[in-house]
Amino acid sequence: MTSALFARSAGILSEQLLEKSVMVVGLGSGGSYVTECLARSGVGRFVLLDGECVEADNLCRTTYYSGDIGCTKVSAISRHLQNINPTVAITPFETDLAGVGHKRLAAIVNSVDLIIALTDDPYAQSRLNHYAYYYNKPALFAALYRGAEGGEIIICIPGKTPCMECATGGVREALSRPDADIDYGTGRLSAEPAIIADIHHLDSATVKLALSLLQQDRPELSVSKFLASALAKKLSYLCMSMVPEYWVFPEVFRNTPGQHGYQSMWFTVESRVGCPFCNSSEEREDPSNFPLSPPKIIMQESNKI
Amino acid sequence: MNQQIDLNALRDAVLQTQSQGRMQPTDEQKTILVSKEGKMIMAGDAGDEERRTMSRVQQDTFHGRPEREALTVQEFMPASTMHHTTPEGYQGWLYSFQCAYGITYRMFAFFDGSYYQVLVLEPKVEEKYRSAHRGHIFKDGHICFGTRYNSGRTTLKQAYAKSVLWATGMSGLLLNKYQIFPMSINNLDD
Repeated sequence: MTSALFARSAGILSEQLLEKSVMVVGLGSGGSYVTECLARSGVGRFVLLDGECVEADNLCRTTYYSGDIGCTKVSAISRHLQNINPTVAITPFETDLAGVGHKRLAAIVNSVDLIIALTDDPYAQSRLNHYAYYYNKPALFAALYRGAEGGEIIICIPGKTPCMECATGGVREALSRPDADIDYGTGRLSAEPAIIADIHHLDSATVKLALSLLQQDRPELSVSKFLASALAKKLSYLCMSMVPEYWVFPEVFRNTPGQHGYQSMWFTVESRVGCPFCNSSEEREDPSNFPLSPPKIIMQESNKI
Repeated sequence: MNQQIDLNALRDAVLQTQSQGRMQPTDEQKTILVSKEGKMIMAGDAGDEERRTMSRVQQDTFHGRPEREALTVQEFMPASTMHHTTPEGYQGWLYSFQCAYGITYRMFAFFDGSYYQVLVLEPKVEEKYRSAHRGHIFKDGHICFGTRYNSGRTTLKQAYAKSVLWATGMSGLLLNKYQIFPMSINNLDD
């Protein structure tokens, strides 16, 4: 049964993927699709993390079914994965990142081959960046821009590329990227109207980059070459547009005929001086020494100033 | 490498980097390199070969983070500032000050593993601006200092300083002196 998963990908993917473990954090529109595609591509081990339940308004842009409504996203996706590959190994965490606990998260990160961060919480994305870099694990950070008219995928490989914070604090800021809004009530990105076709255009690229990262030890495979050739050119930040005349794309492709929606650009990221994540190892803090949930302080007489 | 190094310039560069809370200077030319023979040179005076073969000096203070924080508290923060450990395990500093409008603020500044964040303890304003992008404060009570650095700051000194600016802006809102947060150009309405 499992070998059938590779029947149509000879020379592109290898059955080694059955032994690879991927941690997917956030099982919304991106996470549900990416996880299922990786299972269909032969990835055999998953750590799934999400604290939410499937709601009816998730169905229009995820891979959930009406029968999944009310179930946790983790349990629903786990069922889907087992229907694709009954031998798949799943470690479920039906909680947000903070609920995992800072010490346990370190053990989980250490146990996987790849982290895919697909949350709508910038703080969680940043903490995952810290863990990934500190524990020397490759990670992908995918995010959609406003209305899914564009999006980005940041590839982080400790020792080979700068970290996600250097990318978002450098390239993103320098180009005044059309960011999504943060909801101050939750600290998470505001949900915005967007269609599944635009969302999964970015997710599809995330899947290919994930497969490429997982197969970097098999350089003869064509999927491996896809990322290897980008990294050889120091390209680790992919930006995509799903609509015509988007952001800086018209400027960049001004002299190229036949341009319209679905464009992409790769950027080189420089490590920031003093970056607390990917700078020299002596100054980095072990992220597992710091709680994942924010502090709560009740003012008492003893700590009145 | 026969040239004499200007030790005053070197010292100025180191102290400037330390005062910015950095490991390395923002100006690459002020990077300090050390040779196998124990000689120092500024990167701006070094050739390609020297840059390649010499060690870069990390210019941070000769202290760990807790000691750096204690020095910052002593030199730059209110005299009544106290060290505090939260039940979750965060270590940080409780401090209190009166803003330009006369409102007293109590805050907790802490290192979250990456950056310094500030939690506003009193007055309780996070609920008042819960659904608004007006107050630049999150629901859990920590201040949004900006889009970079996880909404925090890179040093305790910077976090403290900007918390005072934030408090002044918040007081302007609380006292209806302004209709929008007066210390930022990126406010959104309710």
